[in-house]
Amino acid sequence: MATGFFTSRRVARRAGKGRGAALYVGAALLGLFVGGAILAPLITWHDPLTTNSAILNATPSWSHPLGTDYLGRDMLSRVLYGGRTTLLAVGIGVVGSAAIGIPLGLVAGYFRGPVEIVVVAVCDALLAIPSLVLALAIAFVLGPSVATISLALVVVKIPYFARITRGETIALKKRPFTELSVVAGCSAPRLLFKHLLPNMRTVLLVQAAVVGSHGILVTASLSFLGLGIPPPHPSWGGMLKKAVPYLEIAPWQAFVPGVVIFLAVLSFNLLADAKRGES
Amino acid sequence: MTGYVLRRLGAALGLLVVISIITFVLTHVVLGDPVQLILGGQGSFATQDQFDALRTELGFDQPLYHQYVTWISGLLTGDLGDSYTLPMSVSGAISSALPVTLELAVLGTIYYVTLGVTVGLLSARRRGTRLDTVASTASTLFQAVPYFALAVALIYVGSIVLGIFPPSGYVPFTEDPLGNLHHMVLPVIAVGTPFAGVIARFTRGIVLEEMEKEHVKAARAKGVSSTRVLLNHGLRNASIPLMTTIGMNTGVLMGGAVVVEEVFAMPGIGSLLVHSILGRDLLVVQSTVLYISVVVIAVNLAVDLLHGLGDPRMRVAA
Repeated sequence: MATGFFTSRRVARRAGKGRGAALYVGAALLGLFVGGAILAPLITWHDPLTTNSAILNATPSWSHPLGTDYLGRDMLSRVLYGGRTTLLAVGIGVVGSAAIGIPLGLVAGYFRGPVEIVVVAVCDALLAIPSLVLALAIAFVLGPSVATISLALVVVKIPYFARITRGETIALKKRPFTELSVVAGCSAPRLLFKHLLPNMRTVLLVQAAVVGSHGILVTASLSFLGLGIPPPHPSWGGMLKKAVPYLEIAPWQAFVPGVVIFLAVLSFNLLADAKRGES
Repeated sequence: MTGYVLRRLGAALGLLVVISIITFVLTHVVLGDPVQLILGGQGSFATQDQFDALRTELGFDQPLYHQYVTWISGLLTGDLGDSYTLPMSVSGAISSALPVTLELAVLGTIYYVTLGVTVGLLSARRRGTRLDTVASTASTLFQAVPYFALAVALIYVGSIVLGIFPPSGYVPFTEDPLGNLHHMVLPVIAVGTPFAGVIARFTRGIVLEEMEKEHVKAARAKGVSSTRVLLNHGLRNASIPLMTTIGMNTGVLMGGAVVVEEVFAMPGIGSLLVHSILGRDLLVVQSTVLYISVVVIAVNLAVDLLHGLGDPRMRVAA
């Protein structure tokens, strides 16, 4: 870090420490959510769909650590099983948009010409429609389901990968090692995937974390609006929506899913911050 | 400058054409038969004649390019036909909903820019102190706040516990200016807060970067106070990238407004979109999506033009 106006060694050290903490906290949070989703049946014996009219809107207790909802369903098990669908959709969204967007960006940035014009125009158009609005339109067309959410996330997030990959490719193309590889007779696919792609690893990982964070928000928003995971299946957004009428008598029902969504978004944001610091 | 304006305008128009095609393909080709949608699928009680009659009436028996041209000319003339679910025309529904959303978006932007720039400047000025650490941590946390969860929390605190703010509804500004602003407080906080974190971090970073430059050192050497340097040299030079960031955030902000309007039961474009999706109101859905994109593109165009006005280099580059 350059020393200058407001800098000091203490500041530099502190900034480095902050990034390390961001990585650990982010990874720990995400690990907690993934672990909870996978091990859900081992963590709670309650079924997320079983209603129980004897314990409607129950406060947290030993048998129901996060309380029950307006139908007497266990909140903890709904959070855990809701996490399964959310993380599945977000995982497919991140992997799918990267798998399509990165090759598009590589080709557009390396070969330029008409391919680039088309890729950039479609990306710009998709980016001008807010992610959530486009996802809503896709949900409208395909009907609410986990598959719809995953597909919507893939479509909405392709430009995020395509644009940044294109920019990186254009920048890397001017570097001597690229020219050297071309002179050495390296084929275009080999150059793109073996030489250029590894050099943008950090940038793409940051982007993946950003897309993951948006993905959680979009998935939860869709379910909150009643266009995501169809009830009675648990979803974080749906739990929050159903808690609103009971806000006065059972505020924890809104608090639990709200905090869960917040922490899930935070975990991806922290990972993005930590990776961003590396580049 | 004229050439630059024309090129930016042309690019924006081209973008709109691409968006309209994407929207149209999504709603007409992927969706399948809209008439089935309106009258109900297999279990519908409508007869084949009724299906055919409605298909002819709504123009769905025409070739696709014809339907596209009809829709686009409707958008340009403001005559988009009638909504299937609301007792009004599509353009009537959109023009009554758009001001609500624009007000929310404008007030939300003013709120998050003011808060974000203030916090960002403070942490840049007191870099490395406890204040900076607290502000940076708060910004990180703010950025992760989901709008609708914040909206629900605000209803709980502001309406149920404190009882100061109305939990839902909307009063037009022209009817009751104070009541309008009173209803706007919670939605504006809900929609803007995540961005305040973004802007605070952005401002801090860009101002500190500016502080490393020669002109700042020269100003400091002349004896200009650090607060003045921060405002006159740091913030001033940061204002252009800041505006670009605000422009880029507009799209996300409009997406956030959709959910926030729904939580607070505000009759804006977001509520209209959600209700027409649930009511399978095809015409309203496709036109609403396009209008939201028009707002986003218009804001970014305005930012680009201002940028070109302030920085002549921009006019050549783009």
